[in-house]
This record gives sequence, C-alpha cells and structure tokens, in this order.
Amino acid sequence: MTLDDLDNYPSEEPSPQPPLYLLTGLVLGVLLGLFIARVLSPLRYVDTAPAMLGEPYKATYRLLIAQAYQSNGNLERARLRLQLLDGDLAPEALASQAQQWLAEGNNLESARALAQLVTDLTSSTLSPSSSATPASGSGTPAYTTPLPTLDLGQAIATPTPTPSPTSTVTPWPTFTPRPSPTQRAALQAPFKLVEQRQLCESGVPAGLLQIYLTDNNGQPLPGIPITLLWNSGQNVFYTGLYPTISPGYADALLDPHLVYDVRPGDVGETVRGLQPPQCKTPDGQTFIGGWQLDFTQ
Amino acid sequence: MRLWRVLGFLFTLAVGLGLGLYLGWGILAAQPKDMTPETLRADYQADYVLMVAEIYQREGDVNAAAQRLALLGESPLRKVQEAILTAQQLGYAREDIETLARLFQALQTYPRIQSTVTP
Repeated sequence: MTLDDLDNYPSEEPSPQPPLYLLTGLVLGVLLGLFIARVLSPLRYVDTAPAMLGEPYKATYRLLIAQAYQSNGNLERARLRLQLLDGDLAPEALASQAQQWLAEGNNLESARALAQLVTDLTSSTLSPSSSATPASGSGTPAYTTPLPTLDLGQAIATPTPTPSPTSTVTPWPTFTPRPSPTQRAALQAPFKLVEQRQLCESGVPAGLLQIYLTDNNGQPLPGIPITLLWNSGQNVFYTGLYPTISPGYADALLDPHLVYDVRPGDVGETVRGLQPPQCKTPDGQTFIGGWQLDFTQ
Repeated sequence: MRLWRVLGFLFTLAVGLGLGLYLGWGILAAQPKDMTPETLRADYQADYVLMVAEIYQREGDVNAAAQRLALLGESPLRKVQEAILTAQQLGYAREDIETLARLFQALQTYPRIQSTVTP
C-alpha cells in the first residue's frame, strides 16, 4: 500500500470540531471592547439640559429658581426655568418638594421660598393678569420666546472627557422689565369656620387634617398660611400645594397624642382643642381618623 | 490552513471588539440622567450663574454664592466670567449682565472658595 492509496482510501467522516479559535477571538474582543468602553475611556455626557440632572441637583436647582424669584420677582422667568427642569410636571414637583421640606422643618426659609413660588404660580394660573405682566409701562411680555430646550436624545455623548469651550449655543431671549411681586390680597380678611367634619372613612391616614379655604365668593384661596400650634411647638403650612385637589386645599398629619389649635391666615378664627378622632368600623373596631375643616372669609 | 485560522481569529476579535464597545458605550452606558450641574450646556450654566447672582443681589452673601457656584466645578470666578461672555453673546438684558458683573466683582475680593459642596 502506497501513500497515494492511503489518500484515496475512503476514510471515516471526520468528527466536526467546533472552531474554538473563532469563539476565543470573539470573547477576547468583547472583553477588550468592554475594558476600553468602561475603564479606559468611559462615556461622559456634556452639554446636557437641566432636565437631565440627578434628583438632588434638581432639588437644589428648584430652590435656586425660587430664591432667584424672591430676588427678581419675575414670575414668568421662574416659570420658564421650572419648565426646563421638570417640563409639564414642574408645578407638582415644586409643590411636592415644598411640602416635603415644610413637613421636615429642617430649612423653613428655603421651604417658604418654594411654597411662595408655588403659590404665586398657582395664583397666576387662576388669574393670569395678576402677576405675570410686567410692572413697567413697556407693555412687552417678560419673555417673548421660550428658553432654549434640549430633548433627552439631543444630549451629546462623547468619550472625550473635556467639554468643548466653544460649544454651540442657542439664542437666548432678552430679559425685559420685571414684574412686581404678586400681592396676596386675601391675607387681610379673617377666615371663619363654616364646617368641621370627622374623616372616618376607610383609607384615611391616621390623624389627617384637611383644610379648605375659600373667599367670600366661594373661590378657593391658594398661598394662605395655616398655623398649627400645640403645647410644645408650632408649624406653618400653605394652601395651594395640591392644585389638583383644590387651590385652596392644604393638609397635615396630626399626632394622636397631641392637642392642636389651627388658625388659617394671619387673622383667621382659631379652632382650638383639635385632636384626631377615634372612629369605629361597622364591626366595632376603633381606629384613628382625621378632620376636615372648611373656612371662608 | 494555519493562515486562515489566524485570519479568522483576528476577524472575530475585531467583531468582538466592536460588540464590546457597543455594549460599553451604548447599552450598558449610563443614561443621560443623574447628571451634575457641571455637565450643563454653556447657556444653561449662564442662567444658573445668573440665578446665583440674583440671589446674591438680595442676600449679599458672597460665601453662599461661591458655594452655589461650586456645583458647576472649576473656579466660581471663572464660571461667572464665562457666564458674562455667554450672556453677551446671547444678548442678555443689560440689567442681567450688570447683575452678573456685580457678583464677579464680589468674588474677586473673596479670598477662598470652598470646593466641596454637596447638593
């Protein structure tokens, strides 16, 4: 038998070996790519918009907007800034932050700045002519064109870590005369209690205090401080932080072990000795309910 | 045969590399949220600085202004300079540019800026 015979000899079908070297190349390539993308040159974003900020920074940004509004009294500018930050959810986000900070009581000054802005935004929505117009006689609106906007997808993602100093900028609207701060006209008239109702429905949070304020025409009144006093302290919260319920609505949670006095506005009738009521379910079980107080001027 | 194997290996290595980069920079990359103020576009940063300047105008607290500006990174003084330039480019009202300029002057006399600020 010669070598040629061996070549021509009908051998058995060779067992198909997996091309391991191809798989190895692929795996090594993926690992190398991931190493480059995640370690050597990770992705960094530049030229982002306020809407892309992390939540703690958004909270700081909202506070800046509110404090700047306290300084310049320009409600339209504050509104547009908020819109850049939270879009259509701006009033809710601002109200939520104000309510949270007021409840925590850590930084009341900042919380009040937020609450004031919520109030003025709500007021101006209800009566557009009250505060959104400039005080000077130019007659031009504070903003004629919106602030530059950037969709999420427009963020420029680049592996280069240094932002370009010559980034393209969009034209900015000219800031025109400042409006005068919104007046809270309703503060002076005293409020009187028209209804006090126990909240014993199921699902009501224990100790919930709901307050509705209306003027003498029955219109809800936002931005009115409600003072809650108890034997060892006091707290102030505002109507208008939940415009979806009612612009004149405010709520708070009462401690069942404390007795409270509640006073709406600066000179309203004080409801004394308020304590969360004991309610009973149809099967006789007791639970802590809440109160609803309706005041009008 | 050996040459084909080498070529095949290099080819799949290149494919894998592309796939890894796509995963790392695309699918697995951080989404454009949870950004910090220093990543804001120049015009947004200018507005941020203007807000700080407006607050400074009322409060007169240069230390607080510097701390607020520290969120933008780098030197607060430089950030205000950049904001003034951006404001001029974009046609800010003279009143706003003056507000920025007053903050700039105050920061020039401010000796030391605290660099660690958390929101």
